[in-house]
Amino acid sequence: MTTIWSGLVIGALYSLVAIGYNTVLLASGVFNFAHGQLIMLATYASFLGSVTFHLPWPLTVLFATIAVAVVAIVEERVAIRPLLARRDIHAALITTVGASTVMSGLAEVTAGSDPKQLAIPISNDPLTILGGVIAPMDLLLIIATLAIGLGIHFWSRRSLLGIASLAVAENRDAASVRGIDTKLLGVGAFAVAGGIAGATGLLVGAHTYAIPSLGNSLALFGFVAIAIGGAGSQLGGLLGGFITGIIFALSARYIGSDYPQIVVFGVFLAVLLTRPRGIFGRAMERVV
Amino acid sequence: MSTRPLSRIFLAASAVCALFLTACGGSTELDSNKASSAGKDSPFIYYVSVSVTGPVAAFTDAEIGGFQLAVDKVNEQGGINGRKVELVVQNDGNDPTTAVTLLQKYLASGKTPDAVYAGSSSAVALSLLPVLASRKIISLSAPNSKAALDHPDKYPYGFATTVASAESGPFFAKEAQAKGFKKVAMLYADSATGQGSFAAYQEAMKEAGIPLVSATYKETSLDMTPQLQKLQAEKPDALILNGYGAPTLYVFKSRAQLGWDLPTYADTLASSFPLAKNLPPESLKNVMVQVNKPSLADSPHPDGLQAFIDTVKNGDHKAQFPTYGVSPYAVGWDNVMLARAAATQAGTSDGDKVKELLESGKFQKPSGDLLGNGKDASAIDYCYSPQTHFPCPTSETFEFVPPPTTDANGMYVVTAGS
Amino acid sequence: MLEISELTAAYGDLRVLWDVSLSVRTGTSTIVLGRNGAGKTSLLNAIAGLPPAAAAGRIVFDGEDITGEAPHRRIRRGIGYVQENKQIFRQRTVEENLLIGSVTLAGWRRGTPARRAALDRAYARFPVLAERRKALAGGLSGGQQQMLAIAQALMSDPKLLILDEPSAGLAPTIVKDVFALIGELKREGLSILLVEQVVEAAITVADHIVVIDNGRVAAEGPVKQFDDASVIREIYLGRSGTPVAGA
Ligand SMILES: Nc1ncnc2c1ncn2[C@@H]1O[C@H](COP(=O)(O)OP(=O)(O)OP(=O)(O)O)[C@@H](O)[C@H]1O
Ligand SMILES: [Mg+2]
Repeated sequence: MTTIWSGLVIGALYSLVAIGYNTVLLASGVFNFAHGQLIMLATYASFLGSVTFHLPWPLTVLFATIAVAVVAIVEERVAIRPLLARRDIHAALITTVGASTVMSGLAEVTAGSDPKQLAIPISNDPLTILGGVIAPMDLLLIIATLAIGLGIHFWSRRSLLGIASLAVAENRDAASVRGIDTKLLGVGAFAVAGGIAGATGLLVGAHTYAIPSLGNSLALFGFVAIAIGGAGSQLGGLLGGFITGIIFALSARYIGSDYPQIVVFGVFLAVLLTRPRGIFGRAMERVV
Repeated sequence: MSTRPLSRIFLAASAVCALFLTACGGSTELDSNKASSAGKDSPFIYYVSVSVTGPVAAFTDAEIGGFQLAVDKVNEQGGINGRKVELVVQNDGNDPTTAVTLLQKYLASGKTPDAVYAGSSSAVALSLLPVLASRKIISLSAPNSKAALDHPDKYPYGFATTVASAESGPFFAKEAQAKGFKKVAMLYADSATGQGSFAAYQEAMKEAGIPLVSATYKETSLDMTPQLQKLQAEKPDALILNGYGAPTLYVFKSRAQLGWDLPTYADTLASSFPLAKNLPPESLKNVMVQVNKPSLADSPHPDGLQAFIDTVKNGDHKAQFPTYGVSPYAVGWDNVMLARAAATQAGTSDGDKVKELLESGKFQKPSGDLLGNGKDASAIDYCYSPQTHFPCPTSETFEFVPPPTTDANGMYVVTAGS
Repeated sequence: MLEISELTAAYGDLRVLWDVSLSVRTGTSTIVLGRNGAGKTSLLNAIAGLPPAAAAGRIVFDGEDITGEAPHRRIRRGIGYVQENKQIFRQRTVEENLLIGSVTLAGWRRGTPARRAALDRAYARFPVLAERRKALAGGLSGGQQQMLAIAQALMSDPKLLILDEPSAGLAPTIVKDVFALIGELKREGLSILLVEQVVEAAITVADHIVVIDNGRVAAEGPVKQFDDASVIREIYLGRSGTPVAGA
């Protein structure tokens, strides 16, 4: 069970990346490769808040939420907007990779490559739950990820704004001639994705520490998560992340530690080949 | 610095010789006239290939501080074999190709180094050694990879001045035998460094007859629980850990979470990471790191060390001192002092003569001049021979201690009770 | 209502419309005829704010110059646009499609009174949509999809409805329904700008005809001027005399 918990914790990290990818993808059709870096920056913002400024945790979370949302908005302005104006979504994919490199580079230059420990609001003595051990902050991370994932899934299915963003994802021009301000929605999606990354920075950083390399570690598996779960499906991405994490942990534990990447990418390929829309890509559409 | 016309002509002639008659230096007949053993008027060129820019720039700056102080000292004491020492620093950007190009350009300009410090990384050293071999130029430097570099047949003039990190393997094996470990586990990064470290321990444990089980992790891993559980299932008596930075923190976090407090030993790399600063004492129970004994604040230090530290702190390169402590300055200093001892004892900087001396076992270490290897340089044994150009560890080289903190001089302090 | 003067428009550097002028007067309908590739869709897109972008000329709606405005602003001013090929959101349900059409109404909640009323009106006008409100739009029949596309455009309560070949690909009986609907909308006071290939049916709802050829206005006038069959033939056969596929 400890292995499962471990899988759920890394799974939660991957799910958070998947949620960020999907939020932007759904509203503006752009795959924001830099989302892993936004999460990385969130851990630094949370470090600044909790350690450097000695803020109580609610203020740390607020500070990180705003800070990362602002970074995301700047990213949209600088790296995405000019290309969307030229209707060049493929180039936008490349500029997000560029933005990603810039962010991790800046973090490394300003903060150094050594990990920084965040101040944690609660005792982190391990708990034994269902026969497995897990740190309280990690448990909170799993719960928060589930809550955010389900929340944003139902919000995007139920609220007018959510449905509007799904419409933009499906057909940008058609949505704009239904009266939807697609640019505003695009910036909004970046801000929301950044805000979610910021808000979870403290929980993520409690597990991973603040390190510049975090973004790169996350980016790839977040991608696998949405490939498994189905791009554009928030629920799929959420589950895809957890599944990726559990496969990863179980294969590291039982098959051998050389194999987790191979197994995860094997599953990834199998899904791509047999169900290109992801395991949940279609099913979800019908269920909800 | 002005050179008199005559010696300039002489240098030009040597350059021509160097360019067109590479055999010059090889012929015994010409030995006394060869470029590198030029007359007393020409300087002893100490050529340093390091990365002045890029990620290791600050560390290099400290090393250069050490070179400079040592060169000044040596010149004050009359130079080497009566020749004034000239320090030549080349910025190789830690890139092997750049390093070779710079060296070749330098050689082509007609100058020949008397001794070379061949780079801060094994890759750079590996690129320079063949060129130095063909020109019979001695290099005394501090590369890490014994496996790649300790080949006197291929690189007859390359000598290492620090103990290779692979020596950690035998050192741990001794500890394992003393503690009666029946089975040992190792967790290491799936990278060149990690595999190199594993190979060193694997060989040593095989020799000691103690089974070694292992698991690897990717450097992008964010949680180490499954790997540790896998090793835990093997019921080892001790754990060796390789890694640096975040991955090591994840390991100790998961280890604490699993309540697995078996004796755990950090390898050289993991030991260089400030664990005590980054982890609560609870998660470091039964954790040992391997330190160089001379770096412990409590060890007996060379007499000149405190004065050296004071000089460094007031010198041109003092900016790096608070970050790195005295160690990189001492590395720079010691390498110059070794070059002097070798050339002085051989009576020449001629590559073959110096090599012969170093390999003969007659080389006397300049204990009083060395700062980085403990009192009387007792932590190092220049056991060079025709078979190995790496020094040997002594009983004073390594020590296992609980994760230490560092004091103002960059020396390790082991706090009691941890 | 809509006044276009000397509009020149281009996809990037590629010009597709030259000096096009036309107008739709309040409560009347104008139909645009032309061969495949003549530039009809391009004209409607330019009016709605999609590419091609205006390079010269003016588009005035309700007395205001909207030439450079973003599409969603034009829609908010009272333009409804039913794009060609039954452009709906196939992965959303019928009701979600209608809600998407209602974003221009005040408020961001889906249950505002204005939105409810607009939904009720749509379902009253299109009972078949009411029956299938929870179905995915992509699963509807072609005729139902076209009805949904029109219903969606009507959700924002437009003053001018623009339709691009609403009869394309539909069975004849359904084509009749579509034109009956357009006639009804016109009687309700909506101004209409319609692109059509089925000239006979289109003429029944038209007040004014504009013929576009090669991106320029080739002929234009009140519908009675086009009673002459030779003019219609010219439209269908084109000047070169080659018949146009699908006509
Ligand atoms: N996105 C585009 N980019 C570049 N050129 C385009 C684009 N869309 C259409 N065109 C070109 O513009 C011209 C007019 O096309 P348009 O679609 O407006 O014609 P149409 O009259 O609507 O034809 P149809 O009857 O087939 O719908 C054509 O030459 C077409 O190739
Ligand atoms: Mg068309």
